[in-house]
Amino acid sequence: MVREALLRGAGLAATALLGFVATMGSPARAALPDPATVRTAPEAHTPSDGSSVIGGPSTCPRPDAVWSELVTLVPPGRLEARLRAVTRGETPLVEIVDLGVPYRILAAGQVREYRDESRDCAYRARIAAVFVALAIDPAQLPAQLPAQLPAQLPAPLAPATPLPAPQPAPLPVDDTPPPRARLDLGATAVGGLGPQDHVGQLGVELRWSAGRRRFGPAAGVTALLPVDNTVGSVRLRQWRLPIDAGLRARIPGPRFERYGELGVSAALLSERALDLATSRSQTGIELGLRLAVGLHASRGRLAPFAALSGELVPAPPAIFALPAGTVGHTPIFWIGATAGASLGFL
Amino acid sequence: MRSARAVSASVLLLAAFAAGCGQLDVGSDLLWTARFETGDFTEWTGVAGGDAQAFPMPPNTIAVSNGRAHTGSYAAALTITAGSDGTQENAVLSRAGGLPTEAYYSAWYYLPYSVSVGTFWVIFKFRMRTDANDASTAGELYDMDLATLPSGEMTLELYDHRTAADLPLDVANPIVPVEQWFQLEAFYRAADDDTGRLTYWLDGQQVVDIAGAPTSPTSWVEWDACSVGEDLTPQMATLYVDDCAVSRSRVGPAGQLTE
Repeated sequence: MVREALLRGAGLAATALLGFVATMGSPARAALPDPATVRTAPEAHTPSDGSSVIGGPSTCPRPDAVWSELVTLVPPGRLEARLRAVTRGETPLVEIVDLGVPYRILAAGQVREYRDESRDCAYRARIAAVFVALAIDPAQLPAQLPAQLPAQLPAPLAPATPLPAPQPAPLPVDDTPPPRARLDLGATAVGGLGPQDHVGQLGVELRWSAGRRRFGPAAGVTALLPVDNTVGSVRLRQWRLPIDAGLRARIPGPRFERYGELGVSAALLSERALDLATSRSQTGIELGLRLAVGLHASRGRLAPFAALSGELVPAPPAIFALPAGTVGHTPIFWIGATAGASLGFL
Repeated sequence: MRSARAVSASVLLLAAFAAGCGQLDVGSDLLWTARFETGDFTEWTGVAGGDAQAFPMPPNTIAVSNGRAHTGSYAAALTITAGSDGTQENAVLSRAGGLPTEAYYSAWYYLPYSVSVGTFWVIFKFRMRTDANDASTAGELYDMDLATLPSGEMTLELYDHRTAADLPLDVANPIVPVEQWFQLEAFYRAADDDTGRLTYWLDGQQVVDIAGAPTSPTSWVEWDACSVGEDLTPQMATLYVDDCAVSRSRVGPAGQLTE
């Protein structure tokens, strides 16, 4: 059976795991050497760049990319021991074959084929690395890797012919791809810094981001509670509603997806004097540039997230009151910290 | 074409960032102002307790002049002719009553020429009442006078009617400029206990601060921007007055009375 869709992000390890589980009972599994007989193998070696371990003509994923992912999954000492244990003289131990949409992984005598229509090479590399890790070190299955694996398993493709392999076990699988969009809702604290104005505010931030690829759009709005502060000699009650839009760059990981954002911001700013003989509320717009970094858990639709942001307002509004005239400006720089829950959907 | 649009959009975006949204006018601490830009004295005469008069008239006069102004186009010209005959000549702009117990009082003055003061020349005055509701109990309190130094320069003197004597200034003989506008500002708190206070600034420099002493038996306040003199040389002296204000905070030399 050919599955058309593969999970991204949190499901990648599960994809490889399922493939490995399917392969465990295959004849190829029977070809695994008896560890007792290979511990004394004189050919054992410890590669440093993986070129002698992972080969093949594949360009997507490239063998070195698979090696880079593999060394993040298996501790160096254990990886060395397992390579020594399973190497039987054949070089390379792992072979990656790019067949276009499908790609094939041969590792320690086991073979598995997957499909990836988007040809996301980084994603393929991670899938292959997990499969290889499980192939060379089955003990990892219950011991180490499970902490990185998602609860729901996607299905691999059937092994490619002519290599014999059983059909995947009819495990309950979830072919749902990673969400196309996320909504982040969290509590936020911001601080404004300027020559005449320092202010701290609390509020709630709602952010939206879209896309499954490395870059995608993002936008947000923050509702901040009113706060009293002093600009120059004038006491003010300040209320601020910033909105922003920009681009989010993602760095997926097995546990967390890190991201950075760059965009423009506009804040609705309301100021009301508290102590003047004649006070009035005034509303203005702040325009600025916004930069943020954050991360959220890779697993699950609902995941915790945390983010830090900075906003530069090159020309903050002036606060004017008679008879003093311009008493100062609102902050030129805003920093913020937000934590909450991120919901994936679509 | 597309790149041109992108450049235009970028320029507009940068311009928006640079321009910001201007200023937010959050209000005013000014309680009352007189800028004379109406061309008359209605800013004084149109409020309760306000007045603008010269007496005896003639020879004394008050007028709104467009020949010389601190800001805008108009200023008040207070002209008295004060000989050595022992007669007090008066040109007075006054606010009597309806003023807060404590406030800042500011006015700008212009002396077109130096005047030698024989007896006195009052330009900034506070009066009081022993009974706030009885006009007949009004009396003199503090006079800020112009005086002439031996060098011929003009200076300030503060006269206290209760002691019938000048009070020493913290800055001895501050020079009052001639042929240029100068600002005289006072903080006055009317109190019959040690919370009373009177502070003066000349062009932003504090020249006297009397604190911790009773200033007035009641909270009733009269403030005059005036030209009240006796025995001046030359006898006819014109004093220009502009941008008068009563405020809850200091106006200062850089203060604005309008946006």
